[in-house]
Parts: sequence; structure tokens; C-alpha cells
Amino acid sequence: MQIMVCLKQILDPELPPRDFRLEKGEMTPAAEGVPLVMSSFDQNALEVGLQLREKMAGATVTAVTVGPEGAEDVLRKALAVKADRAVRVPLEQDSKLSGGIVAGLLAGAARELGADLVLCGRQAGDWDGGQVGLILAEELGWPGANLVTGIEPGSGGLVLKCELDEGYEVLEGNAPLVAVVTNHETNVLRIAKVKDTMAAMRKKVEQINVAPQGGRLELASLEIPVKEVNCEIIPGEDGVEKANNLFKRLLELKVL
Amino acid sequence: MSLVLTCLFDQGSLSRDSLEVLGAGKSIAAELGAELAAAVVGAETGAIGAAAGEYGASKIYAVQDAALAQYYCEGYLAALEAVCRECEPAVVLFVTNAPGREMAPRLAKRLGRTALVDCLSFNADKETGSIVFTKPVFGGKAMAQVAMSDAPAVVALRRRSFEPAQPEQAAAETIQVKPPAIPPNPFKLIERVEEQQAGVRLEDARVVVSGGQGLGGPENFALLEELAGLLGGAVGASRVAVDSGWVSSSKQVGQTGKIVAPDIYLAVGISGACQHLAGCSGSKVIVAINTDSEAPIFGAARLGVIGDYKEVLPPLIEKVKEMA
Repeated sequence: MQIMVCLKQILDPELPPRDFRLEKGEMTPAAEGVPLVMSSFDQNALEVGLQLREKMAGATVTAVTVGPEGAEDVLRKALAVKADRAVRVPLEQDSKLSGGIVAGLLAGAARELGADLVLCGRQAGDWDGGQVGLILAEELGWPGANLVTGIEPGSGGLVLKCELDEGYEVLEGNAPLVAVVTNHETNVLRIAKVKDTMAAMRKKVEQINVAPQGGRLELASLEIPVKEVNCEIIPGEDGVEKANNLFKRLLELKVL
Repeated sequence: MSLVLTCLFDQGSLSRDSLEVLGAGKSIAAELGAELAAAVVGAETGAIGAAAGEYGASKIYAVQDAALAQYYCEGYLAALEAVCRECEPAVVLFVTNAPGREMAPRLAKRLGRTALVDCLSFNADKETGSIVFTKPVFGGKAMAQVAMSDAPAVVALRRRSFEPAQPEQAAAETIQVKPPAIPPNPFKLIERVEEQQAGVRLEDARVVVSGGQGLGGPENFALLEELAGLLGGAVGASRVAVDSGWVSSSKQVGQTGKIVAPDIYLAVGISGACQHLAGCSGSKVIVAINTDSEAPIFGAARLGVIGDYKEVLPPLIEKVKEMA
């Protein structure tokens, strides 16, 4: 089983709102001084891939990213948690609202690698597009499972656990397929050992070139919303007094 | 006349999600001077088609087939693709529930477009027929306005962001559509577990008591359960609490979890990451209880209690009991 996991490098989403700025005169966030990290749902997808590999003899995990050379950092992180291979598909242009283009490039990589199972995070923590994995299923003509939290080898194929709006379902399907992963307590990405992180710096990152196709959506404007909330701090010497004052304010505001 | 097509997946009666997509569709159609249509898919679509008609759709495109009795992506996609080829809509609307999230991008791809997911509002230009949709990006730290000028614009609307449609007296025309082929479900269903919710649904609750990292463990959610129970409310959680395995993921409030808009949103030990606030910013009164006075949640809360929830919640629970 050739497992391909798609990873995106993004501006750290943990950056507090007060530090989030836009590039002057451009519809893009200021990147200077902001750490770049692996998008969080992609971390979950990587963990799902690593766990499945542990349960299937001969399975390999290939980490793939689309982007400029600097994006190879996320591949190093994947190699540090023991991904077998790392591949970058070069794309120099800005990734904003270009889910369709990125899905096309990833489809090209999946074909070239002979992948049987492609794992993607449900949405990137930057532009929050939420569709690369789903378009990828269309591009490849493979079945797609959405909101997957874990995959196990089954007697007749792969067994996938998927979130529903209320509850979950367990599906059985055969490779090749695309699984779009969401977060769950069982798929928090493992922490790399220091020696593996060091070793990952020396490993090779392969390159697969695919011609970008398709268009992106047209961004008309990008704004930081102005919040006008003045928090009223409830006074009180101790917990009881604070609770009483809070209770009183909630009654006054007619919400209790 | 151009068409705004709403996609409905309910069987039998219209869900709140469907009423919202019909409500949004109606206002978009009015802005564009277009007609409102609904696509209904299932083994028996008569009742749901009639209901969509009552709620404002003047054309019902029905795909009826025994194979489509239960929702599955590949089958329903083939059905909707056939409907879109038949009626060539200007706009196709979904809502971001589990089916809508997966269908919108895939249907758009089949129609040679890219979908836009998680939209909060729109602005239509009647002259050009182009519509600009607003969606949160960067975990809600910024709002993007995206111009959808090529038909069809395929859009999934965020739940609880649009007013549900109201019933009206109107006649609807029903058109039966037959897809060239309905592919079988590539997945076999082994098990479906519908979570039984004790009390009210999180999304419908008038009071939501949510817990985060500050709770320190699953056992401390008992206090939250007690308070929510007394107020006829529901318990929610931050992503950290879900990822730590303290509560089930169906309780996650945030951009990729449940979107709630209660009268009171009580955030206990929640720092207030943007993606969390995106799920509760529509609440009437957000109350934050946190030991860290610098936590971003105080920037979003109307009322703030700086302190240990273990000292504040028990007396608050007593006050609520007295009231009852």
C-alpha cells in the first residue's frame, strides 16, 4: 500500500488576532516574523497514515507538498516522524483560493507515485478552502471519504471511521481512494525524536513537476473585521461574590 | 429566467438546514431577479418536493430512484450533476453540513468550476449577474470577499448564518430528472452510530456551557453538565478538549465544529482561539471565566470573570437552583 499524505505549509494559525496584519495594499497577510507550520488537519492526516502503515506490512508513507522550496520544511517535519519519502511539487504562485490548481498538481503527483491511498486534511488553516481532497477524488476518479478520523486494514479492504454531524459511521472501501481527515483524539500527530529530526535534515526531498491547470477564485477584498466588544469584568472578592454578581448581570441583561 | 438552485437532501420533511438554504436562495434569487428552484433526491421525493414548493421554490427538480434511498456521495452527486445539466442554474447552493461540505466542491469540479465553502453573506449585482460572497479565512481572523462571476456559482453556506425560509402560498412545477447512470456506493456501511443527545441539541440550546484546556481533565466537565442541565442548555467544548479526548467531537464548537448562537455562551477555561470564536460569535452574551486576564476570550466576551471556575461555578449553580 502506497500511502500519500498531502501537507501544506501555512502561517502559524496560533498567531493571536492582535498580531495578525495584512500586507499594505495587498490582499494577503503580512508574513514577516510569523512562523510557518504544517497545517493542523494535515498533521492529523499524517498521523492517520503513519498508524495505518504500522498495521500493514510493506506499506509506505510519502509526504507531498505543493509550493516553493521553502515549503520543504513541512516535508522535513514529516520525515522526522518517519515518513518514508518526501516529494515537493513546485508552485511558485500564491496559493490563495487556488484549491482547484493545487488538487490538479497533487493528482499528478499521486499518479506519478502510484499511490493507492491519498490522505488530505479537511481544510488548510490559512485560506480555509476546505476542498482540495474532494476535488482530488474527482481528478483521480477515485471514491472519496470525508471527515475521516482513522483507517484500519480490514478483511476486505480498508475500514474508515468518519464523523457525521451527530455521531459517526464506519465504512469499508477498497483502494485506490482519497480520505479527507478531520481531528480526533486518536490522530494527534506524534512528536518527533530529536535524533530523527536531525536525521531528517539530511534526507533527500524529491521533486515532481506537474503543469498547473485550472483557475482560481477571484478575491475581491480581504479585511480584518473590527470587533467592538468591551468586556465588563465582574467584580468580587471571592468566587461566591463573583458568581452572585455574574448571576445579577445575566438577569439584568434578560438572558437568564 | 435564470435559476438559483438549492440542493436538499432531507427525506420526508425539511430540516432546519434545508429551510436556511431555501431562505438564502430566496433572497439571492430576489436580488438577481432569478427564479428559486430546489433539487430533491431520494427514493420517494414527493413530500419533500411539495414542502420545498411551500417554502418558496417555484421549480422542483426531482431525482427519484430506489438506489438513492439513503444519502451517499457518489450517487447523490450523479443525481445533482444531471439536474444541473438539465436546468443550467446561475447559482447552486448547499449548506455546510456533512453532505454539503463534500458535495459542493465535487459538483463544482464536475461543472468546471471551483466551489466556495463556508459563506456567511452575499452581495448580488443584478446588472452583471455576479455575486460576491463573504467567507471567513485565517481561522476567522480575516474576511474574504470572493467574486463568483462565472455561472454556475457553487456555494456552501455556513449553517445558522441565514434566516430560514417562511411558508408561502405558491404553485411549484415538478420536473423529473433521470441521470444517465447512478453509480453504486463504493463504500459498504459497517456501522452508523447516531449520538443520542441527552437534553437539547447543542446548536438549538439557549444556553451553552463550554469547557476548554483550563478544565484540565474530563472529570471537571461534570460541573458544566450540571449547570447546563439546570438551565436547559447544552455542553460544548474547545478543540483542545476534544483532541485531549475529554469530550466527544460532536461537542466541539468552532469553525470546523458546531456553530452555535445561544442567548448565553459561557466559556470556561477557554483561551479563545479565533477558530473557536468563529463558532460562537453569534451568541447574545458571551461570558468568559478564566484565570488568565490576558486570554483573548476577554476580547470577545461581554462579561468576564477573572478567576478559578472551581470557585465560581459551584456558587453560580446554587444561585440557579434557588431561582428554580
